[in-house]
Amino acid sequence: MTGEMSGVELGGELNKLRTAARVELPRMADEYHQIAADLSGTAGTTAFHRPEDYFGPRVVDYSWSRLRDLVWNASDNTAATLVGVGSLLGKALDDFVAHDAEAAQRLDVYRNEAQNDSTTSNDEYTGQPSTTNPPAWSLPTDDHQARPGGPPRAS
Amino acid sequence: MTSDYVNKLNTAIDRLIDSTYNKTMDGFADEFMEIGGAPQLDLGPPHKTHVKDDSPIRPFLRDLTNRMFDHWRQLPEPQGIRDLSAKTKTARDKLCTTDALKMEDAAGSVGGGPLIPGYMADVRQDLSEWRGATTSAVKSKVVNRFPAALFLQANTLSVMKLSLDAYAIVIEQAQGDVVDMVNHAAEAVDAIDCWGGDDGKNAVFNIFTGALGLVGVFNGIKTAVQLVSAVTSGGAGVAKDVIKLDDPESNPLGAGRISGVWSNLMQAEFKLVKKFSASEGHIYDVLNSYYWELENKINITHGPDNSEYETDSAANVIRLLAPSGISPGGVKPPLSHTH
Repeated sequence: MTGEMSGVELGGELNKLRTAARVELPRMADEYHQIAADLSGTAGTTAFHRPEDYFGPRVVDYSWSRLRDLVWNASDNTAATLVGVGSLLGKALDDFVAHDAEAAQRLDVYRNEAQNDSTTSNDEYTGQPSTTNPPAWSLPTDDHQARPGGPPRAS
Repeated sequence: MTSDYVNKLNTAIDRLIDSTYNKTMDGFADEFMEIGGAPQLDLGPPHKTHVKDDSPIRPFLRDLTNRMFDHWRQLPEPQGIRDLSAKTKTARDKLCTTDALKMEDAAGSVGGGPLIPGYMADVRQDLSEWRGATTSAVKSKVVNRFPAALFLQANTLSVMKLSLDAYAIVIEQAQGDVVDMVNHAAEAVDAIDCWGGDDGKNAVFNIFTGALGLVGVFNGIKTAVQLVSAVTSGGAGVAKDVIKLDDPESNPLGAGRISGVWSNLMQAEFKLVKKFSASEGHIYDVLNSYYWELENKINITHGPDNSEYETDSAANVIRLLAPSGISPGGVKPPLSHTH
């Protein structure tokens, strides 16, 4: 019969949890923030402008911008989800570390091996998100929780 | 800075004005005065063809051409549209560096250039043995849904990019058509029989020809694959098989008189506006159809052998919404391998 991992054995899995929570998910979120920034750079463009009196409404502008807003919004939502999940898993990690000294000690070994030093100021280990401009970590479960600054979801 | 296109258009307009002025002064003042809104000229001998005062001719023609072509000078700059396309590509390439037209292609791009798919593959691996309600929710709602979200995000950006590329081509063709149209009109004026006879008046100069190059690039195109084909194959970037040319007006009314040429030019210009708007409409149709396609339900497969699936709207999936009601306490350690 098998029980839950603990001690040294849990330390290895905690390192995986740490990697997911504080390295991979935040870095993915960073990438999505950059995608959102790329798309925000196209907002308010005048590239589509031409006289509407002659050529009619700017239908390409309208339909393209609507899709742009949708992907922009999706990128913001995805980033917020990744940051939120990473933060939540990081809190779980902190709980395990606080309650299992042996596992925490083993995690320190992994940390020192990975960093090749024993400083505790590394972002990934202190739980500070690596994003330069992280959103408040709330999990967006619908449109109303999208980060401020993003476009409204076109209906 | 004035674009090369506007310079060409202005040169063509200047040439048309010069041709019309010269022909008017060469004894065809009566034809000039038949142009709608033209000033009446004071004529003298011989044969009441000599223009005593030519001062109203050029201002009238300048004003007329400004009214006819100012809006064509204000077409979008193709380079501005291509700059938007490049920005869209920059965003798309962070997700997938190929045109992700199939969901499996996007999901299978792990190991390629972009970082995001590889990170999520690592997350999947790192969480594989962790248990609990929260972990299960994260796996189900985030990790397993991610390939579908990535596909939809990348594919949407690809459609946006391709539409912009096509729009730039449409604009360039319209620009070329406008310049050709005005040049053809000038040629038609130059070629008017200097004796004013009927022979040759319906000569080869059909200024409608200039309007025919602008066609519905997106006629019949419903998928991104067809869109790619349309903008990358065929001469001048236009797919021949999706183009349906209008029949040229073989015998334009009055093309042998100054007033007839100008009348034709006005009709052709009107027709060109309609064609340009129609081409924009085709691009709108593509983008609009795609947008509403996202309202449809899609299947998201997961499980070890993709045997399980759930259904949700693409508009929800593309946003990778987080699972609700999860907490750190719902993360449970893996089962021990040693006990």
